[in-house]
Amino acid sequence: MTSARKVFANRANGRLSKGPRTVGGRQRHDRAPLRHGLSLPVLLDAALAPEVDALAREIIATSAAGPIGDAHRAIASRIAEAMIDLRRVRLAKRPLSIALDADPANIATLKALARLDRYERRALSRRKFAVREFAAALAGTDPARPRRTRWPGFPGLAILAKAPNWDNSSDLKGHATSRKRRVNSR
Amino acid sequence: MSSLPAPNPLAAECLGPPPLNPGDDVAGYETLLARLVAEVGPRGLIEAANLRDVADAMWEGARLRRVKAKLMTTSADRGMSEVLDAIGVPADEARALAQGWAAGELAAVGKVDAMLDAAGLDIHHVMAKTLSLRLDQIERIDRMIAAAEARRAALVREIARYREPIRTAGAIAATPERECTEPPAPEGAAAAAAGAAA
Repeated sequence: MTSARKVFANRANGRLSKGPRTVGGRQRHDRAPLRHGLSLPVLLDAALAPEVDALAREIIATSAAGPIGDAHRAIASRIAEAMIDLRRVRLAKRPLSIALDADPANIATLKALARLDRYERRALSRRKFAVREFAAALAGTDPARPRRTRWPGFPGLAILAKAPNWDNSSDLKGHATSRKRRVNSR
Repeated sequence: MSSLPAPNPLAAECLGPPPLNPGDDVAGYETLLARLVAEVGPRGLIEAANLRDVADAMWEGARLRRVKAKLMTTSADRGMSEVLDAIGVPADEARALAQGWAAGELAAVGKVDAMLDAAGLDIHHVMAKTLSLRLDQIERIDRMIAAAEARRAALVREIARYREPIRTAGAIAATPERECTEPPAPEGAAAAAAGAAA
């Protein structure tokens, strides 16, 4: 076990070596979230708040047929916020995508696009969980314990629901599991 | 965007403009979206947004594949220059020949082909060299393609997952029901099964 003296020294040294030190470095660090503003919540932008409200009303109007309560409205607002977040990210990606089309070898553009992919993934994830909660609230079920989903008859989309296996990892996992089962069954 | 599955202009605005760059095939994108809409029949803004994202993810994946192919083509002269250099052609001459070859100059193409033949090499060696020179970019593009395809697959599953509990509880405005079936086997598997039965 690490001694208290070593823990104290590690923490003291860690404090000395973390983060930018120079004034310029600290200023750059402070300005980093302001570059595109995609990490800021939608509702911090006063201009977008009415749009969120209108969109939430539209979600309820087009999705629900039963009685609607405050809980439903709150979840619909979260879905609306995530949708607007997604639109912001995609608008930010647009010029980069055009630039990449023009110069595919530009590594800076590729890196910038990959960085924005992260924001898109987060917004999609937020929307996904809010939509699941909304669906569960409409159906009166528990979102944490979803019913088994039957495929609702989109034969043309069945193949699209499977992500391609890029590195054969699932094959390897299957192999490992079957070996483990064999070992356990002995 | 006549095929956009949006109930009203507000919804169309919230989904943002379609992901079309200058020179993209607008009709192709609209056809893709129209086919998805015909297949799923989206009900409400949530399903419309999910479906639009499926189309966008597919479009983005296709574009990134095009970008990768374009990168390989536009970098082929560098690969050729390196291969010529490796088989003993002086660096300046190799560069000039590679540029001429990339520009399609007949004299340069003939000379380069003869040199590669003499060394027992062909265009595949040149493209392999090009790939190794651009491996960093290709790897990044491949990761982005994989992300777009994973996104597409997750969105399709989410459409099914969203529809099921609501439909069962009858909490959504009624529209004509679709027959509920299991996902069909891929075409290749069906053909193989038919062949085995025969």
